[in-house]
Amino acid sequence: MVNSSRRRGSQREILTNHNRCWIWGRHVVLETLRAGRWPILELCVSDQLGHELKAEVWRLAGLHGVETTVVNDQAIAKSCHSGEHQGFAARMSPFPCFSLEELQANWPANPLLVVLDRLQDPYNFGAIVRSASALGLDGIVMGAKGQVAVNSLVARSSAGAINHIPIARTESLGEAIDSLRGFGFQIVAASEKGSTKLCEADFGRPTVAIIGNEGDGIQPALLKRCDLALRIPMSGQVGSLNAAVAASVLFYEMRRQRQN
Amino acid sequence: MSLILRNPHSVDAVLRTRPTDVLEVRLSPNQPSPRWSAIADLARQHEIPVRMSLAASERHSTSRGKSERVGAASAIISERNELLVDQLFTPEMTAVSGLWLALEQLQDPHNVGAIFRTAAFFGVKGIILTKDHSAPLTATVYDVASGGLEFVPFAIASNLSRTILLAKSAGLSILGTSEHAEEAVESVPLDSSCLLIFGNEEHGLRRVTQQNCDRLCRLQHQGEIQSLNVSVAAGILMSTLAKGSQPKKGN
Repeated sequence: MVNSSRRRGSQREILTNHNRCWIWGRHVVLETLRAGRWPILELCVSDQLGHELKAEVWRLAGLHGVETTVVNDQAIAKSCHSGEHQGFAARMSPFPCFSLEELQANWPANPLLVVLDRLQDPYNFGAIVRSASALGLDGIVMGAKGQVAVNSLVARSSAGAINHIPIARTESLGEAIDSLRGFGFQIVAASEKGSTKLCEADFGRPTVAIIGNEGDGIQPALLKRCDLALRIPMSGQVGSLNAAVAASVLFYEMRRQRQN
Repeated sequence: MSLILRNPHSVDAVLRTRPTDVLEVRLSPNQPSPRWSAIADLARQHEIPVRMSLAASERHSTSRGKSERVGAASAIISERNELLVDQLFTPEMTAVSGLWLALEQLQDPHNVGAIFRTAAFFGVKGIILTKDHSAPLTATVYDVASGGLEFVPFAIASNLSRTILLAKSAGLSILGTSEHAEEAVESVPLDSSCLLIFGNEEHGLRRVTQQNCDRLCRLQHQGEIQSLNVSVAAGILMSTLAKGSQPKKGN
């Protein structure tokens, strides 16, 4: 018998020694260790690290109570199944998402949020997290079903930004959007077929932007909850934008209007 | 040289723009997706061979490569010929104002592909890539560009300083991008055609290139926490400059 959940590898939380439990690379591992939010089960660092870097790792690991072993580079590569570890690998517990209530408890006045509707590609997810964090958005809400989980690929392509922007996970995106509306948010959709141009929208009030699945866009149940469907005006003859680029153009405009 | 493309959007774009360069379409023995079926139909109209890809047993032996996904369809194409740099700045090309890009030593094929895709969307008139220390235009670039390489003319320059001179003499203003620039892109006047230059992912623009630029600009909010990925930053800049060249709305 085929268990259907086995096919959706990147959507499951993985607890075994799979390489998606590991994050690797100096920048991502150090950022995660510094932030101290995503629990590290085991940290492996290379015996080739410089003296200062080693001291920094021991200080941070002591601060957050992380078990650390110093091993050779081959052992690290064997653990995280990648040669691009730069002397750092960490085995992670499942990513600790917030609930919508926890997100709400921490958001500032007049927040800007993004809702991700069933994003499939971990690289897109990571790139959107990176842009949302760099452009100063206040939080990300994602669904529990059909959505790629926060795993090592997402962590790497976010360049460590998953540690800096709150990410909430909810069973029902529809209900989450309804309650956000109750808090006074306007709901906008990013859609190729949107009737309003991006530059005509007003982001002065609390705003939630919905980014849809790479293939079929935003699901109808969410689209009908939107106040506005925004499109980025195309000036070429052909083509479509990548989800992460489209999302970033939208985030930039939201932030730009606030700054002005 | 031929390339094996796996993104149906990029194959579709080649079929529509230069069908004679599609050498073969390979479908998986399983039911092909609707998109690949449409590609196969179009290929047959152009009398391009459509084959079933390797049998299951043979496929198993090649499945060690990461990109050799089970059941994946593909197409073999010839690469698109680049133009000479001069051909991007002819009087015909520059008669109507627009935006050109130069990518100086961009090394990640995903970034190059992503920039081509966005450039096609925003109607960029030409892209110049530097010859040395740049990602070659591999199948990955074509697939990430999702058809963008077929719609934006490009050239490969061995000397970017000469390219900048050519662009200047064709009436373009030269806009370098740097997260350390003092001027935000929004305050750049957009009354003429423009060559927008992006530097290497790690080191940015070379000093000599910066000196050759008319001005340097950055995004308004970049650099507060961490920098954006270059292809994302390029997307935002293209969107801002494309917007500026359209009739302005009150804001």
